[in-house]
Formats: sequence, structure tokens, C-alpha cells
Amino acid sequence: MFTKTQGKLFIALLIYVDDILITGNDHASIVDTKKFLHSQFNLKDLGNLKYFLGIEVSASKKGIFICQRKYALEIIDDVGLLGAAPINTPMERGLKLSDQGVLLKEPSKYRRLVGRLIYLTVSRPDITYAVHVLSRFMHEPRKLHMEAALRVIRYLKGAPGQGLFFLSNNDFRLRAYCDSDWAGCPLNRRSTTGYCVFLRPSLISWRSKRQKTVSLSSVEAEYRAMTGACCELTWLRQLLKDLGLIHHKAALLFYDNKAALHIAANPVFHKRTRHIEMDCHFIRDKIQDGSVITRYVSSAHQLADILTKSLGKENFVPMIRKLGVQDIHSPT
Amino acid sequence: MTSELQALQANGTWTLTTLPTGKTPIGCRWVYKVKLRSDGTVERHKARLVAKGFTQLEGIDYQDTFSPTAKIISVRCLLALAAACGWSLHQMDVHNAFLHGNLAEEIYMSPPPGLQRQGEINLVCRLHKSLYGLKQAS
Repeated sequence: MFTKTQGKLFIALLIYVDDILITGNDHASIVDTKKFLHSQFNLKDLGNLKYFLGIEVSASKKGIFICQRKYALEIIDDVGLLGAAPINTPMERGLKLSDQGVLLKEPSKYRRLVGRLIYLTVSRPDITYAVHVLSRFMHEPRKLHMEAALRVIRYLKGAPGQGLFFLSNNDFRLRAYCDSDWAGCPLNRRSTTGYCVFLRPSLISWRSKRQKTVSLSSVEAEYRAMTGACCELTWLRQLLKDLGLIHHKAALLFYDNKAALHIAANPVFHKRTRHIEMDCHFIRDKIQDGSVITRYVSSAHQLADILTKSLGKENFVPMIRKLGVQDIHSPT
Repeated sequence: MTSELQALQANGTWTLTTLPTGKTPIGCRWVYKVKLRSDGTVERHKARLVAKGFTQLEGIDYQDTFSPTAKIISVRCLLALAAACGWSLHQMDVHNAFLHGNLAEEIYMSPPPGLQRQGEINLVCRLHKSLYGLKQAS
């Protein structure tokens, strides 16, 4: 990604191998940039952004909507579930997949399917957790894993055009929510980090990741999740600075565990936390230099919940709406 | 196919030389693809010359590989910002993108079928630009 700033003029050029995306606050200089590129390379001008890396983009006065409807429909068609009954959630509530059962005869089929689903998470935070769990079994997929994957497909069938909406009114403040389960993976007792970052009100980054080490207590797992989210915030601040958006205000990090907040705030040596590696205390530095502020949020408003566990439909649907996931193709 | 050959030659992708001893040329082939419009009708037939990059050896034919890709989060970030500031978004596509990359290594390729001139049967192509299928293009 390249940017050019000249006084108030700002142009950003994003390059993905041979696809180029240009944006900026001045139309004339965009045209100039295009002319310059034309003189250097053999290019095709595709006009306004509509389809980039398989993502459908549509802009309106209210904001920009991205979705991967065509890609989702292709996946559904591929597994032959176009006629299947749709389902409300991507994964059964509280489902824990084990590594027992009948091995799949064609593991490549599973790998291909999950690989495609991973790319679909680009515009769909709603299936991120389910896909994250499925991808743990890539090396040795079994029958029950395939069944779980097909359930995700049936969920997609219900709303293939669901995507993210970036609203035009924005206060440019970074807010992150992070959460962790504790020893949630039945196979090796590791915990899962989940976080999502908003450039309010637009969701720009999210992740669901199994932690690398075993945590002895839930607080420790939560603290690690907090550090992970903090790293992401630091990087995003840098990225936004490159995009000409300097943050005077600190980023807010919302958390639902008071104990973890205390560890982050007080550099006190506790018996229970002395084994946590020093790199985890990265977050303390960030709090002290004022770039991150931590806030408590009750579990009911914890938006990162959806990235660490599979929810039932009564929680799932309101949650994804809060994340900014919408379906502009649906009649409602 | 003719237009692909013309593009390759206009770009200075290769020069024809005799093969120095101790070098092995890598093979190449044409890959044909029917490009469809979004409504499913045929737009054009596309031919692309690819080198058989899997025969290249690390450390001899190539050193390291790199392609400029953007993180998807950066893309989302830029889109969110563009939405918030009301910036217009434009998109462009580079023709024959890989052919713009210059090659540092000395690589020889057997001439593609279709490019045969009389009296030059023993010549090979010394590549100057990157070609689809080369390790340098991945």
C-alpha cells in the first residue's frame, strides 16, 4: 500500500499483485495518478470499484457495503446444497469437536471446502469462529468434522449475500473488544482468543485464534487475549496514521474480566501471575504511554463473544447485527 | 495466442540466443482458457504462455520469492475510511502483470510452440522478464 500526502491532498494506492485500488480526497489528483500509471504500465481502468479480489463492493451515500455473495453461492453449489434447508447459526451451541470417529476417505475435499470458507471470512465475521474450529482438523478430518462444515454451508444458504457495512458517519476512534474462553479446546486444553476492532461504527478487524500455550487460570487466558488485541490496536493505529488519520485519542479496549484488567493496570508482582511471560506485559507499556485505555464491559455487551464460542440463535442474531453484519439482498 | 506472443515480445521478455554449456532450458506450454462474462456468455478465448517453474532449483535458478500483496485488513481499513470520508474508489488492473518484473538470474527457456523461425532451430530464449509459472512469479 502506498500513500501520498501533499498539504491537504491525500491519495492512497493499494496494490494486490496486479489489482490496484485508488482512493483519495481529491478527484483531480486521482485522475493524475491514473494517467501516470498509464504512462508506465499497460493498464485497464475498471472505473468505480465494484469487484475486488472476489469481494463485491457497493457504495452509497450511507456508506460502503462489502459482501462475497457470488463466492458463497459457488461454495454452496460446489457441495450440492443449493436445495438444502437453511439454518440459523453456523454451529451448534456449545459444540466441542473431538478427534474421534471415522476418517474421511477424501481429506482433500474437506481441506478444499474449509480453505474456501476461510477466504469467505474476509467479509463475514459471523462464521469466523466456526471456520476457525473446523480448520483445527485439516490434518486429519473425520466424518463429524465434515458434518459440521456442511452445517456452516447450510447457514450460508440462509443469507449468502450477508456482508459488512461501513457507515459514513464515523467518529474515527478505535474500539476493541476482546475475550477468551479458558481451556476450550478439548484436545490440548488451550484457550481461544477472540477480538474485534471497530473504527466506530465500522468493524475493520477481527480474529479468533487458539493460544499457543496452556493457561493455568482463566485470568491468564484472558490476559493473553488482551495482549493480542493490544498488538492489533497498535498496528492499526500505525496503519491509520499512514492513511493520514492521526489518533489523538487513545484507543479503547473493552474487557469483561476485572481481574485481567487489574493485572494490566498494576505492575504488582503476584504469585499467580509471575509465570506469565514478559512479552504479555507489553500491554502495560501501552497503557502507561496512553495509547490504549482499558474499560470494563459487562459480558452481555461483550461483542467478542461470538469469536470464542458458538452461540445459540437468540444471542447470535442480535450479536452479528451489532457487528455491522447485514444483508442488503434480503427483503427485510 | 498471437496477442500474447506480441505482448511478450513487445515487453522484451526474452532474447533468442544459443544455449551456453552447463545450462538447462526449462520447458513451457500454452494454457488456454475461455473467459466468461458475468452473464455466462463467452467474452474471449485467452492463451497464456507459462513456464514450467517446478523444474527450477532453489539457489540456482531462483533465490527468494516475493509478491506485493496487501493484508485484507488493510483493504477493509481503507474501505471503512473511504466510506467515512466520502472518498471515491477506483480500480485498475495491470495487463500481463508478471511480465513487468525483471529477472536477476540467468534463465533459459525452450522457445514456445508457435514461435519458430527457419534456421533458428537450436536457439533458446534467454528470459529477461518474469513469466507466469516461474518461481519468480509466485
